Amino acid sequence: MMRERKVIIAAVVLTILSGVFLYSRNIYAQPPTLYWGSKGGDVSRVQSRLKDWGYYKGPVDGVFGSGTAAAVRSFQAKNGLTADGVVGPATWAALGFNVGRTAQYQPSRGVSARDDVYLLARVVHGEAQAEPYLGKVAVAAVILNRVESDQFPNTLAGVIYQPHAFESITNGVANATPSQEAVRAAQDAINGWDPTQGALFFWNPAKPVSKWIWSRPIITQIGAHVFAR
Amino acid sequence: MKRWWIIPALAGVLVVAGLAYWGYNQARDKQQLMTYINNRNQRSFYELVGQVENVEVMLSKGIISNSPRQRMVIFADIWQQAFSAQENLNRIPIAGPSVTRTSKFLTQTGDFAWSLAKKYARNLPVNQDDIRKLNRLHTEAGYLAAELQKIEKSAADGRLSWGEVKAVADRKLRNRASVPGGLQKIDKNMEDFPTLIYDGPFSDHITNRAPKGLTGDNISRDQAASTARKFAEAGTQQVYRGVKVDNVNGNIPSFRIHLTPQNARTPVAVIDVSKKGGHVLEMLNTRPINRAAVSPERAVSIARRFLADRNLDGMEPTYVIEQQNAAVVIFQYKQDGVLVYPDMMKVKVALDNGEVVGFEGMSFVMNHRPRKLPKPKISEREAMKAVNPQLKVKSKRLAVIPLENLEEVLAYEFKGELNGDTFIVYINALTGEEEKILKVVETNGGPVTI
Repeated sequence: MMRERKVIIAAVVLTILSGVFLYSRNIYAQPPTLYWGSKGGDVSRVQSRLKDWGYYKGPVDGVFGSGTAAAVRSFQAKNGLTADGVVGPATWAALGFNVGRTAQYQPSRGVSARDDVYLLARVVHGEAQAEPYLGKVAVAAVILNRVESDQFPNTLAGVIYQPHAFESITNGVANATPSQEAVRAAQDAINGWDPTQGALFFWNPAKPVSKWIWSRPIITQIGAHVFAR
Repeated sequence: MKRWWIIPALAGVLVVAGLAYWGYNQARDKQQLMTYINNRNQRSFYELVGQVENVEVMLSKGIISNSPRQRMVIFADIWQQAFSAQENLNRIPIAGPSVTRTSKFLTQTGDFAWSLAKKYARNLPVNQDDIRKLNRLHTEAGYLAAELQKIEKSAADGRLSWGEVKAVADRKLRNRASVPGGLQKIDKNMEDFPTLIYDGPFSDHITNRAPKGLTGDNISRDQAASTARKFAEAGTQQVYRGVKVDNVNGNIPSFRIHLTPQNARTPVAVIDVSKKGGHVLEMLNTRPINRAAVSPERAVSIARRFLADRNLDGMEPTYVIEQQNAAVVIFQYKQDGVLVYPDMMKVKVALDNGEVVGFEGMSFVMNHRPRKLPKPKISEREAMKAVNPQLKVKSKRLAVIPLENLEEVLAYEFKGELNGDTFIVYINALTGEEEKILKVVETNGGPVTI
């Protein structure tokens, strides 16, 4: 009994090791489908798991015979799977082996710059809806310049949602769906166009603003907005 | 006869008015507070999404890197990003098992990355098992980023309240297997914008530096206007007239010339010309762009000709970003067969009729100068040995790249694939050190690489 245990452990360790090997050489490796007549480490894995769970009484010998097939069928029947005695992806998963979450390199998903564009476009829309196209690109560029600047937060969301930084955020106007033009302008700014040459502030001189802001060195005026460093 | 009821009536009216005023103020205050809180939640949420994305990208870089020195830096970065992501996650009013699970994942990733960084710093061995764990964490991070983005898309257009976000998050993050499809009310507009994060330092918003390529004598306003007109007209049949000139007192003082085509009324093109030397820094045609009819490949040859017509020589197209019916073609300067990344120009081509609607030459003027390039001390073959063998290298070349401190180094550029992801690895051509790893991240359309 003790001896058998050791063999099992050795088999399991070997399987894992060979898995590592397989992994390092073939990153596409998927657990194979097993059926009557299959041989090898994968069969042992299934056998030992079925044995641990009390479905299988025979030896863990890596040979898919009648005993193994019967165990697989009863396991499948108990777990709501088709009792066909074949270990496919569903059965692998039910046995607790990670099929979809193998420790292989998976290509990236879910990372995109699209949401940055959208977030930026909403503020552009809120702040510069009535401005010419160039003025929209300029407002977007100011926000991006702030992300780069050490005087402001280091993320786009940090800059945009900084308290009292943008009126349209403070009063909730920027929650509206942006126009196509605002999205285009945001995209141009992200692609590197900056009509303000590095401005960090903008304001509408026709509206009351704090005196301090006029002390900033003015770079240029676009539409109704003044842009400054 | 006294109207005895006047005083009580007046008092009543006063009370009602007072109540209304008080109620109005309360409602307004509440509204302001709601917006404020909502903004704070949004900020945390957007930062969380960004940081999880960063963790995902950096994990993949950590896997592909073959240099202990580089890995140490990457893992330290992952630790920092995972830590911030965790902070942000716990600021959002979502509770329940999903948060606990995500929070745990972020903590583990951060701790694991930190332990690896320390291993590399102390020269301790990092084994296959560690790398396997990295792969799993990477997969998990990708899953998390994708789910967060789905939630974000629903929340971003304001149609989803934070209460609903909570419900959705609980459902989605607890149970990986079931992803309800009904929720993705993505604004249809947003579906069509393939974009790319090229998270390299070869980007633009570098200010407060002395421009290196600003050569030549000062020019007058009229000279600038004629430069702008010629720039707009070269190689086209169109005739432009200047309608307005503004001053731009930025890092490079310049004239901004507004141009209108003959027989049109509204200005369409805006061109910035530097006061010193008359360099064209930027052009932007502000017309809307209709449905795309020109292929991005053709856009590249249009962009090439655009530069040639303006005597901007020695530029090599390196990649194309296609979005919103326009293609932005990125060019790099080539010196003695070596690609010089800091010296960059961009040409934006409208894909409706193939007209060039944008030019960006600021980075070029900021960086360009005659350089003395060193001779490589190691061969391409030797350099290739420093690249992770898992990466299927598709192309290689010599390039000058800027580091974070704006220093420039000569490096071999190896571009390759691992399971469908594209990485660019830079090996210093003098020391053989791995200097940098970039990952090209694209959504649907993506870049057309040349």
